[in-house]
Amino acid sequence: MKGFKAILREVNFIVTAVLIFDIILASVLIFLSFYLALMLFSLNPWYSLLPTIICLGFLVYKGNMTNKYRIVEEHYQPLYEKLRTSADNVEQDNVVVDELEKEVVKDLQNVRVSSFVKIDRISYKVLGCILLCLIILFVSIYNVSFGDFNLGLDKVKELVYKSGGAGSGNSTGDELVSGTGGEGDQDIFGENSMAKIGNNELEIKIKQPSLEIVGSMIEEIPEREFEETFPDEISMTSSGSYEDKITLENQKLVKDYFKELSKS
Amino acid sequence: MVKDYKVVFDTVFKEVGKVMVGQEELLEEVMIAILANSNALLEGYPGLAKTLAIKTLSDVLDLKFSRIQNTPDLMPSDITGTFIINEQNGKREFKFQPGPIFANIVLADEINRATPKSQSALLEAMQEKQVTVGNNTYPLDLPFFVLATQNPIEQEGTYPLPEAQADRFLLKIRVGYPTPEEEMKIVDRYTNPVSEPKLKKLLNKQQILHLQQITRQVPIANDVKKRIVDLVHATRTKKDLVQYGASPRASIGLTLASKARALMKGRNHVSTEDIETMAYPVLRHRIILNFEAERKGMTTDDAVKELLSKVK
Repeated sequence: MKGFKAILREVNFIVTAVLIFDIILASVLIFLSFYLALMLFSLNPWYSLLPTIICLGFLVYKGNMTNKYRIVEEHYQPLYEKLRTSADNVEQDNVVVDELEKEVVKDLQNVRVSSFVKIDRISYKVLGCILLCLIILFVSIYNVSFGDFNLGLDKVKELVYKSGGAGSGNSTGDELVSGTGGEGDQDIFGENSMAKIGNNELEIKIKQPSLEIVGSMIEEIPEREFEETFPDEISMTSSGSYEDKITLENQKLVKDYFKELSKS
Repeated sequence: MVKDYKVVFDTVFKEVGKVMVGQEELLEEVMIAILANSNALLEGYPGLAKTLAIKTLSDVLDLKFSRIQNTPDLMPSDITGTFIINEQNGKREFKFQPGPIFANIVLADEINRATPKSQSALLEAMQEKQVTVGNNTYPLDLPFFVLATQNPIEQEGTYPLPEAQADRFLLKIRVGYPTPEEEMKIVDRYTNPVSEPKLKKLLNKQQILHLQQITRQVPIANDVKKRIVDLVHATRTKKDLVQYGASPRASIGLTLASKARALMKGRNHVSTEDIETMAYPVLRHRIILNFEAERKGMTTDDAVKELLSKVK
């Protein structure tokens, strides 16, 4: 009986190993497919990890629920129901069970590990992975894209913002402060792309509120030079402040001219 | 080893075949009931060799056979036996006179013609393998089987078996008509001036008891066992088809009957094929169809078939 238990363990181990290999290969294929798709639509390709993890979890669960002995039985018909029965009754010790175990051991000698490995299926999967890798490389090098889906998302967001919430102008100052206002609260300070500070990064540190002020923690504000660059769409046509540049002398001259003109 | 048992059973059926023509299914199912150490209910029209089959089988198995012809005036003491006054050397004393129940194979012919009182006299014997008369309890000789027959026609003046009693029978065996070819052979065999064949006694009590032990040792896979339980459970939950489902005794019975069939077929494990075959005789008398199913003209076998297709 001990020997038979060891045989069952070995069968279980081999089938599990084959299953795990298959699951990993399928997961890699799914990851690469999603990675490529996201790249083509200019979305963050690392989002492909999400469907991969979901798929991996499903496949592991399915593999775990599958009766390993049934897989062996499917590959060798004479073992049908025998292997499962002997595995389920391994603790029993009687003549019929002993005979069944001997039969199963004899039949298992005719089962080859290679029969569980579906060469054609694995070949297709490996080939698919290689092909996807090459396509990803090509897409990266030549920057191929079917459209900036990110921009599309931004536009959708903007539309939503405009249609309701803060965009409608109904929000109050309180709402803006508390953050409980309309749907567009997050955009009340304008779009990030509108404020360009060149290559410099803006560091904002928010000190935690404290009743005690520790002098050593007060730091001098680092001096930074900001380069003013305006977006292309902003241009000057006329300005009211332009009139302020007329000298007082000339202003007086014009006033006098109009006074004289009115007298005459 | 198990394959050798198949040879034994095949030889037994061959020997019975010297007298019987056809009815292989009946003989197999009766043998399954014997191996499972249980009882069977035979239902079929008159003249289908039910009694002959049982009598012949008991001869081949070298078991004591007795027959009780059930009638409405049959008393329980006619079955179990009674105390009689015995006079010996001038002394009179009560002596127990065993009834026909004291045999290995008891054929209770047309059981639905006996009153419920007499029918229930069989209950203790069937379940406990013992008989109580007065204050005394007498154990029955093992192996012990009750094979009851009932006629599906002429139901007037009969007492249909209560569900509780029907549940005690492991199998309800349907005895069908022979095929035209078989009937030709029957006519030839019983109209020619040939002497009755002498049957060999192929097994004995001890061997049958051993076979009963071996039957229980036949292993069954957990998922096959689960299918049995699911199937019996489905008889209770499928209310659109079945009004009253089978009891857990049906699960036990189906498992045992499947084990016995596996042994008889020379297999050292129970297969789904055994369950699918034995589900009909095990369940057909344990479920009561609802009005809707009866209106559609369904039989209990149809219901079992539908349940088998649903429970995988």
